[in-house]
Amino acid sequence: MGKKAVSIAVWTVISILGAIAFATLAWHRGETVSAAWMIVAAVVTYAVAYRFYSKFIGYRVFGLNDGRATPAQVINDGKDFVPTNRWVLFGHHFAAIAGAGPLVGPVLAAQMGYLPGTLWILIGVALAGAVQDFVVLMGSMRRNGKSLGQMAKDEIGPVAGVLGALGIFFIMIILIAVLAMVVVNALKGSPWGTFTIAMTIPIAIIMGLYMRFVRPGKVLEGSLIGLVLLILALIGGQAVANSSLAPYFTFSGQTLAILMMIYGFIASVLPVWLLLAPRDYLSSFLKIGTIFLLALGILLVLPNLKMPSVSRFVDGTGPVFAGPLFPFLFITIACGAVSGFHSLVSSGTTPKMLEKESHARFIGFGGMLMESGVGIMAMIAACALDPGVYFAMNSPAAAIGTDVANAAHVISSWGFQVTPDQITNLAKEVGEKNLLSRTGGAPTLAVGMASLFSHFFGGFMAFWYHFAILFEAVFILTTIDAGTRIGRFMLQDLIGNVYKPFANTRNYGFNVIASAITVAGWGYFLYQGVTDPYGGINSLWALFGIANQMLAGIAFAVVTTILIKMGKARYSWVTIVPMVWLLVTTLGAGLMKVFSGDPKIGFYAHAALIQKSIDAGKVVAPMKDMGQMHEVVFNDHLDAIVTLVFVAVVVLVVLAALRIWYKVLFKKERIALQESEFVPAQGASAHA
Amino acid sequence: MNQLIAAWKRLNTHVKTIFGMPNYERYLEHHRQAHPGETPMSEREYYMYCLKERYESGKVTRCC
Repeated sequence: MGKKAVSIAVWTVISILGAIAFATLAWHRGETVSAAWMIVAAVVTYAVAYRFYSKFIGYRVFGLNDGRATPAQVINDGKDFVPTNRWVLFGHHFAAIAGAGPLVGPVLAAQMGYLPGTLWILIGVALAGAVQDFVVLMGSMRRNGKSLGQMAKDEIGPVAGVLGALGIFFIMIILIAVLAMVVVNALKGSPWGTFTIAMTIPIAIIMGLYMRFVRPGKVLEGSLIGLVLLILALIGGQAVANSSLAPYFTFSGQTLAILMMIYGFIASVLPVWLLLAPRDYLSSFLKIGTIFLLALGILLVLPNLKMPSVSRFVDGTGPVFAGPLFPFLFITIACGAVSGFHSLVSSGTTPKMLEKESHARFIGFGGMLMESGVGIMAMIAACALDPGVYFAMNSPAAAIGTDVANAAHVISSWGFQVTPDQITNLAKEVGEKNLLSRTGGAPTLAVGMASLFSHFFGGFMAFWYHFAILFEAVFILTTIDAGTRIGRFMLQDLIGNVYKPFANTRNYGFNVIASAITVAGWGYFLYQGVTDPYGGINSLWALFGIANQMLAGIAFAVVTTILIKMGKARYSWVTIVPMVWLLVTTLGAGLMKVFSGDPKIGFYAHAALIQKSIDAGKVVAPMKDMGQMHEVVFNDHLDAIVTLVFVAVVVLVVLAALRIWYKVLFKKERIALQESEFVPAQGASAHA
Repeated sequence: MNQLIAAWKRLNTHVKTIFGMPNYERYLEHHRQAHPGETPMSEREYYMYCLKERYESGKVTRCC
């Protein structure tokens, strides 16, 4: 047989295997199904998408050419622009894109059963997520590593540039608020977790001092010291939780939210060497290590999925997030399927380090497939739990109350049998007092991971639970301080458009003001999320998902413009199809969140309902007094306005892009593509 | 033994690149080639310079 025939045979077998896996997942009847089927379905989807679709996009659409020098080859400044081995660069890119996002979304989406979320993760990544990361990387690579905002400005126009920057700033605010919310929900009333997380601050400072004064620049030694201290803090946390010190580390959600804001503010004005950089190193190691452990745990244990394939909550009545499958599933799972934020990373450091053009395929497309794999692992960990336990942990108090017996009764009445003892015993096993309404995904994932790890380490459930909480909290806190700092720069830049001196980042006064505004921005949403019974993950996560997907929509609009200017309009469906899909789901979800007549979904409808009670002078549960009633109404209006701002930004950017497309395609105007010059690669013939 | 040391050094370099950490050895080598005769930054100066570049430029280096 020829090589080609072998290849066809192999890919046919792989595809059939994938089809069997999907069929098993979809039509399996009975108690449980093995996670192995989900893994096979995922791996086959990734393999086929990579082998065929990414090749098509890379060569046919974009014309990747190893005869063309990359920015790293041309500039090679020994600092940012350094040709890097593709495996190492893959690691660099993955470490930059991987975060808490793909671990949270799938856990929330599990309320609809394992199938809808899994299908969206796999189809979404193949046709949208990996495509976005790949095409943005290629676009930036052909422009000396320019950022997405800069590309929007160059290729579409200055208005699109400013709008894009504004959009990114708002997304940053919501992102930080929602991630902080995840940490608050994981730490409230948990002295073990709180102590461990609090200790990461002095640990980072010790590392910072070491790497600056004791052994200057020895970052690996510093990180090793930090990791050892971290494990000690984790073990010490248990001792603290069982001692008389416990009350000093037991906080309510409100207190934790305020502490988080104070931390975010201080961290963003302190010198970076003291806290931010060492923390970043610590969380990077922890992140990659834990993702690796999680993968190992799932592959070795191959747990059974106890969640039904499709649950009754596809109709939109679920307690974890409100709204029907379409469009809300598609904004609940952003990271893992398609994450607009990646367009910032793909146009960040990675394009400056590519050794060859062809490597962009493995790094851009492949990197996102790997993140999608993390999303699938989170889905498996959540669906391997008893559904009753899952709902106990993920339903807000407004739905199941705060009493274990009552919660078990309510959840059982939904058709997910669970006993009060089951919930209490699990809490005891993981070393917590209470696991009810631990929304936000992190604790659910932690319980899932703890049961996987304790399965093959023979116990230590409580240790692994807090290890998982530690790992999520550490890298979320790193996102909070780094994000606040980035938000500060963005704000200074934006205000600098109107009032020039404000853009001067060396002015300490302006730095403090910009930091304070940024912290106040996310702090408000965080605080509202804790105090407002209707706030929290329930409404914040939807805002975050909408914002993140809209950024992806903007990224696709930019790249489509590039393709049309390149004269590749006939292939522009590659980016237009996902763009339209994202616009439909996010505008749909956004407008439903604002205008839906159902008070469970629509902000205005909900505000009107509460206002009616206020007018009648009645306080309705779960609000406690009139003040809180007014607060809820105000927050509904605020959330509606923020959503409308997102909608406006994305619509305006797309309209600006459409104008360019129209000019090029119909008026046959010549609008120059803003690519950097062609430089032949060293040691390669000009065509490859 | 020499091979082991070389492999260990390579691993160090890779880890630093993956996590975006400053790599003084690489800087020295680049400096020697690109600016022969000039005095390079000390390891501490280079470390502080890199941190400033990475964390105080307002560039997005991570994700959600």
